[in-house]
Amino acid sequence: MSVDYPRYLRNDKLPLYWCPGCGNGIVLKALLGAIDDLRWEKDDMVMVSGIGCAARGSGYVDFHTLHTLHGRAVPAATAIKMCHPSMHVIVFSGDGDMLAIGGNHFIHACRRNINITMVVVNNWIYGMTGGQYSPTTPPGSKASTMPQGNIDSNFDVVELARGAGATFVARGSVAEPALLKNYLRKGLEHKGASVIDAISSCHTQWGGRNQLGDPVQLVEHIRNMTVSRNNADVLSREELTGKLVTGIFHQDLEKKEYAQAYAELSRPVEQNVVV
Amino acid sequence: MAAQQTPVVINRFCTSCGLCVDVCPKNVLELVEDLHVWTGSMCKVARPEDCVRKCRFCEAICPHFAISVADVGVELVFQDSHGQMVTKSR
Repeated sequence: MSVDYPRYLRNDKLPLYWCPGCGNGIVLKALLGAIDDLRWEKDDMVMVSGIGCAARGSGYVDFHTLHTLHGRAVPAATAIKMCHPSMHVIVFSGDGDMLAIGGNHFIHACRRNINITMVVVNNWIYGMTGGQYSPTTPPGSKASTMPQGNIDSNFDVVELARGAGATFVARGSVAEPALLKNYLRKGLEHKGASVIDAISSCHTQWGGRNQLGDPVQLVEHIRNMTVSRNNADVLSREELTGKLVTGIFHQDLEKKEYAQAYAELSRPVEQNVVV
Repeated sequence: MAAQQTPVVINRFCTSCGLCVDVCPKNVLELVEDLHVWTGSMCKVARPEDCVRKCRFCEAICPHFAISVADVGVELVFQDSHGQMVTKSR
């Protein structure tokens, strides 16, 4: 069945602001497809984003949306979830927003296991501000502030989120949008902090400096770079260097959800209040 | 049974990035020269009879919501930032 995208979009805001061939649109589309699969009402959804290219996504969807300060998307989403536990809260933001300036908030939301879905649109660069290197820029690749090649090590979002205590961790890429949609659907369904590392493509800022300036070439590069989890099991450590493994890595149904734990804590107090 | 389906390109949104042409397994889509748009070319459904109709790779990969695989005869209505209604039906 075809997904009725205009139903979920603010059509007067179209066409999208992103560059031709930008991966962010593919991630947004996969997210809308996942929501359409779940048949969730638009009024039950909240989409929060910070600052950045990917964070513009919240402006295009017809849910309750909030465009917050740079890096502070997760605290805003936490607040919304605590006030309205029945709402489905999604954080849709880029890698610079979520992992650099908002890194602290990101790990602590994972640790608390609060029921929000964090979509990290990971295009390896600060796209909007001019191509500075981000915490996920692969070592050796060039950026405007690293013209000779990046010397920093990069974050592995999956390991970071799992180590911080998120109960659903997956990674998809724009080269396989159908699988990315499945991972997003599982993440949305999951009760607890779910992190989806969506590998996106920025051919304008990252690709242009790394001989991958064409969107088709860059998506092809991402397709060659990613290995599914089943295939990765049989590969040796040498073969996996420089590759990104995609799939669902971690799902924990035991750990208690934060908003639920808070409600259980406060219920006896609320019942005993004499007005 | 499912109706006959075909990819539909909304010209107003197409940025001619070429991703749909790359992913199509049956080479249904192609970029044609169109000097009325700033990109200089436009995606066109060149061989709709070859379309396998089930994969929807072009719809999933199009970053600008320009391609929908829709039933033949259905009208798609969008409103762009200039307030114009853009319709495309087959």
